[in-house]
Amino acid sequence: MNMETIVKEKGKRTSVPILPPISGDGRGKGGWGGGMPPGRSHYSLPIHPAKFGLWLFIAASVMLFAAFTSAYIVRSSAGDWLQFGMPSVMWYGTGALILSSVAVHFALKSIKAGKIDLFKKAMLLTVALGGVFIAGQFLGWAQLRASGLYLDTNASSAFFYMLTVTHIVHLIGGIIALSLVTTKGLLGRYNENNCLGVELCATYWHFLDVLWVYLFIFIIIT
Amino acid sequence: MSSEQASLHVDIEHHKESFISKYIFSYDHKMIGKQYMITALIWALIGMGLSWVMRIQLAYPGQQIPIFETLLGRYAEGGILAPEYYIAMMTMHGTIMVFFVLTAGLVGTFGNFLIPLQIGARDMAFPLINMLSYWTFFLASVVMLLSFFVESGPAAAGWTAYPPLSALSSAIPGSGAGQSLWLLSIALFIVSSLFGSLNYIVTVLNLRTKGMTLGRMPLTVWAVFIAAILGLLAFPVLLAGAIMLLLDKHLATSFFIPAGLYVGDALLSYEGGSPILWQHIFWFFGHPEVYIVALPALGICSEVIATCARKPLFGYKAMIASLLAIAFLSFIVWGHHMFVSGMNPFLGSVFVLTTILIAVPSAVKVFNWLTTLWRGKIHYTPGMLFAMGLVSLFITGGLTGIFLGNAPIDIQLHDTYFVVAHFHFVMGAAALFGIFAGIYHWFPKMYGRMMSNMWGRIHFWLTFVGIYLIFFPMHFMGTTGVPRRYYAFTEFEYTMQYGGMNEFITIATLITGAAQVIFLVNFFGSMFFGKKAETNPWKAATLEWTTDDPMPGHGNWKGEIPTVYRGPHEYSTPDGKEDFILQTDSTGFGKMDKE
Repeated sequence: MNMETIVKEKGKRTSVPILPPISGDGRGKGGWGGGMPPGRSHYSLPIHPAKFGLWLFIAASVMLFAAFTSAYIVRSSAGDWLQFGMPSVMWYGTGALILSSVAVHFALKSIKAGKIDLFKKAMLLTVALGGVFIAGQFLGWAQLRASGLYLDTNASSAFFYMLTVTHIVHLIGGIIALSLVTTKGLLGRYNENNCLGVELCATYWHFLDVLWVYLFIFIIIT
Repeated sequence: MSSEQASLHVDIEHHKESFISKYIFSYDHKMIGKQYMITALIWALIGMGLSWVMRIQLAYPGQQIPIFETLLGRYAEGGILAPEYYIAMMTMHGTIMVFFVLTAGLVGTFGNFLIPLQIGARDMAFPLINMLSYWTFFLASVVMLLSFFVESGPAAAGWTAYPPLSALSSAIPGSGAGQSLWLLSIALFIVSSLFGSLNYIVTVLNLRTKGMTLGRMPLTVWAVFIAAILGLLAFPVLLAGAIMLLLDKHLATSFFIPAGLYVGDALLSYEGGSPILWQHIFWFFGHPEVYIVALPALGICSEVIATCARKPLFGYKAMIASLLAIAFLSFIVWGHHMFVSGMNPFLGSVFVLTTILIAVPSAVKVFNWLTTLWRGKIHYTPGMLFAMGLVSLFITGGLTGIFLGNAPIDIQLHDTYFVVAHFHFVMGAAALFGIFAGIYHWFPKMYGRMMSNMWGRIHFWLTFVGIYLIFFPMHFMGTTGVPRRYYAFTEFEYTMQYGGMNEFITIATLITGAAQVIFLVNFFGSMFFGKKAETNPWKAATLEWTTDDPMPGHGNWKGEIPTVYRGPHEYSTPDGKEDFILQTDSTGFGKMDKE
């Protein structure tokens, strides 16, 4: 990280570092063990702490799903594994989720460009498409149940329900956050200098989208 | 939640706080650290009580112990502990000690208390999440405690919760409600740990004061930081396993339960699950967990040894590199817990290699501690004694680790008392000594008073000698094949010969346990009646000793946060006025550098 990044970031930042402003001429010759002149005041990452925290949360979620899908591979290769196709309605839901990811990206672009009206519309569209995805998942589960596939029917159906439900639990958290941000947006709380909430929401929503596409492809090819 | 909120809290110290906001739902990292510490100490007493019950049973099997019936009720009717509850006591002892005492007592306590003070921050990056972290942990504690009071008793499948025992509710009494509460409690604990890890990582990377480069951070901060990364990546894997186990238990899936299993005379309807899969998932988490506990203890040990030997820590960089190496290796060694699970011998040999590799960074640490002590001006404070004790226990337990890491030897020693001795030395006792070293060393900063040094030394010697008397004989039992987790050793001739040794171990356990009363009286007594502490009683060089008050308020420093000019261990430097130079000392730097 260097001086320029901090200055560049400053425009975007809503928070003021706790510590006194930056001075000094950099890190010196490196501080292993001591004796070097002090470097910068405070070694903030070139990313907002809340965003960094979110990325750490995403890393933890990735580990959760990595564990699930590794177990899936191990278990599916052990035999007694019932093959079944993805419920057709989930394809539409997947399409809606990908579109919602595009919409939230558009919303973020709009708010950063100061186009508040577009931002509001795009946020509403995102929430609506997220709703479509959730509806699609419920309909998909209903299709599976209608064809006699329950959680305890076979290991494959157990994994299917577990993966999709765990994903949707994460997604419901995302849609609550999206709704809050959209409400605040409609009340005019965000503008091009103050849109951290939108950025966090967008990042998390993209993650949910990518995660779902991964799970979707994973289930189809295995 | 962001750093602006942390900065808002700076002002809090000036206006009066209510009892609830100061002591209960506190945002102050120091109070949260103390909450973790007190909760962990209470759990330690419960965990120790359970070990007494087990030891008395092993030394005097079949004899009526009236107090058992008084304390344990139907678990010990007629004063004889029932076998199914012996295994439940053992399970709860392990679970409580690993999660609620060692993890909470080290990462929770010292992570919270020390990180902001040692890096020069007002508080954690997300104080609200920090508060939630403690209260989620508290909720996990309550759920775990409740499981003692359900009709079928607490979980009884070991702290590793291997299925099918843990997955079939009808297997033994503890597999029912007790096991479900166990899984729920662990899930809550995982959430709490995730909150904590998030905070530690963001705080260390974002809130260091001016001049506090990564290369000037005290080793305690480095250790907790690395442990937090391990926790962030390892705990979600356990959560995945816990979810699958709960589904197996309650919703009739068969992730872990194989086909063709009978309970009593009834064939169960499960199909094709794999108990070994649970072992993979559990130990992929379980081995990093060992280091989530061990690394902070090793960090505390390094800080205390450097301070009390009045020498710069030998090989500061090597110490950090070895922490990183241990952390990395911890993710690729889980198979060494499973050498007898029917694993492909070639795969086993890969795990042998990675496991034995851990000996290298561990030896780096030990030699660096020894060379730091070498010709130091050692101040035998209780904290220092416990840190040196940790080095001894770490060597003893580490050496047996080399035996157990080798598949051919492990196959012989697996599930014997040799393993019990090994992990009680290297993980249990060594990490406990880290907690004691940390408490004795930072107590003046926590409560503004000194603990009694004399009673601290008596506590140390009784505990240190006691640990060796308890666990060392177990090596001999283990090498002759005495299995662990047995209710009694009265059935086989080769185990019966250890009757006298078991009695000896039990007496040592009772005495060592009773010696902890000395610590408790010293701890709680000094909190109220101890000698008032100076700001820097140990003449240490790190930032936490530069606060304005001996017991800093919320915000830590009243004025500006000090600037750091040098590394954390400048002791006995020839050009210093005293035999140490504070990290904030700017002597020798030009005016330009200071600004």
